[in-house]
Amino acid sequence: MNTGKTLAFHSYKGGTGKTTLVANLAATFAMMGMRVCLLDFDLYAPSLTAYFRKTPELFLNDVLAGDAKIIDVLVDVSSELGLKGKLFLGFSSPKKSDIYEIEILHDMKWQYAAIRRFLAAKKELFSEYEIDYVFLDTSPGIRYWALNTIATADFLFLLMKISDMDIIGTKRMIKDIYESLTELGSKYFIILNKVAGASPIHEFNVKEAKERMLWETEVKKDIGAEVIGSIPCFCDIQFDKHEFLCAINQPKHQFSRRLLEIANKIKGIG
Amino acid sequence: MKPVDVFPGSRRLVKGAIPPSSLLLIGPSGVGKTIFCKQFIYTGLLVGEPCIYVTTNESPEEIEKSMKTFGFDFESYKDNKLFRVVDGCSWKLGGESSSEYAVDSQHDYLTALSIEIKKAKQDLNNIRLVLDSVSELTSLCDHDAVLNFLQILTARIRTEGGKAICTLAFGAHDDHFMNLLRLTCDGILEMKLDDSGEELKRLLRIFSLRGAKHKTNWTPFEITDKGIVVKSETELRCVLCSKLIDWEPITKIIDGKKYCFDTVDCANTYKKFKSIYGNSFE
Repeated sequence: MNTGKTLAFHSYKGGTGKTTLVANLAATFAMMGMRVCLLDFDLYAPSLTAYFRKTPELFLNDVLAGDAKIIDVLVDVSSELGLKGKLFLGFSSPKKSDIYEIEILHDMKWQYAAIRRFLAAKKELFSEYEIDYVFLDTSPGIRYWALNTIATADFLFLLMKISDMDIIGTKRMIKDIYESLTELGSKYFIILNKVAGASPIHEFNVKEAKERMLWETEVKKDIGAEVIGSIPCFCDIQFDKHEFLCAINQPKHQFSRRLLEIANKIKGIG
Repeated sequence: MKPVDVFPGSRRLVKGAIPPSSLLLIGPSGVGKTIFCKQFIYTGLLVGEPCIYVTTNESPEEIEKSMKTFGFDFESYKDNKLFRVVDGCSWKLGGESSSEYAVDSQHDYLTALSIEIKKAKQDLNNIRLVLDSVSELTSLCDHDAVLNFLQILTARIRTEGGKAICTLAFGAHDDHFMNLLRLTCDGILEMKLDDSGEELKRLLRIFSLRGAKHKTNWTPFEITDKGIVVKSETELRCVLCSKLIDWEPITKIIDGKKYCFDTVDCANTYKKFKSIYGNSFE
């Protein structure tokens, strides 16, 4: 029986670089030979269609509504990216009417039915399509579908920047939500992203490594959660008009190397 | 690859993989044995297994026509020689067989049938084979010869890693013959009709299956336009994901109420939703 894992990537605030990180991390796993499925559950502000420049016919919204099967929604990009493993993408609809439907139109009865359809679809991915890891890119903050996706995950990854606003908000979210989920079997970790102070674009430098370690220790002490990795702020990624899967295109880039470190740690925990 | 039933309802009735085996399918006339066999063949073709249909009751044309009725699109497999019919019937109808593997008379029938089966499977491995039906063989040959023929056939299929289903009409044979036949095969599937209610019901059960854990209760099935659909006798579904629970449910008492789940993971996820949304989440 397939014992695939669900990884949810969440943050208190937007702008933490969640989508870039999760897309690259999913690609890293697929490069390592895993069967990976990345689902865009940022239903209120979808961005994977733009990131991957795809215009699918069916969306995860159709699965939630009971109008499509998960396998009909997924787009296999493994061949075009030359991956050793598999990378399937599930997009959510960027259309205003579809976002409005999810956000406002439907009552709780519909929403609960949608949760059940999502869970059944996820189970199908593991049992029938032998997926090793389902990556869920969630909405930031305490929003309905953000909570739904983190409730279904085995491992939760909280992305944050080193700023007081992020730190205070993340601490509150851990206390209000994450701790109760932990009691029921979930495990959560912090990923520090866009760590300021050192951008080792050309070569690895010792100062940057020390800075990162200091931040990791400090955040761990302050928030009380394990930091599974930290990634410096890379201007060439953050300000690139169309950054696309650096992990594949520039495997020697420090960003890609950090992701590989994080990927190996995640594999180690489950 | 998406898992499919080895035979209709097998994933619901058998836990885990089905070992190489020969199954005896016993049931009254009209219950659905032949459709069951055709579906077994078609699902084999779909997963890339070569299939041989040994017929004593229908001509190859009748088999193909009937398979098409249920949407079993076998043409490409026939063209690729993955689907082969050993015709032990057309000679009775007085015509030429359309199959290159055909018996042409009743003379030394079992020997001729053995030769044709051997020819049909000589370049194939891991085959699925249907023999429909054993009862017809007993009307053409004596019982001991039929038993001997089946013992050799099933032993070869098993050692070659294949799977076979042989059909037998219920009530057409004496107990002694039936018992010897049961010993010959690795498993017994039984079908029956139940007309005690307002509607005629069809039921299937696995009486025995060597080397596999299986349910033994009678399970209803229907013949639909897509073939046989085996239903669940209880229709117990997971409270969380609504998946049909085929085996023992995971039961948990939550806030004093008993809930059934498909997996421990579902039970834990349900508790997580409860912890977030409270009792409004049902």
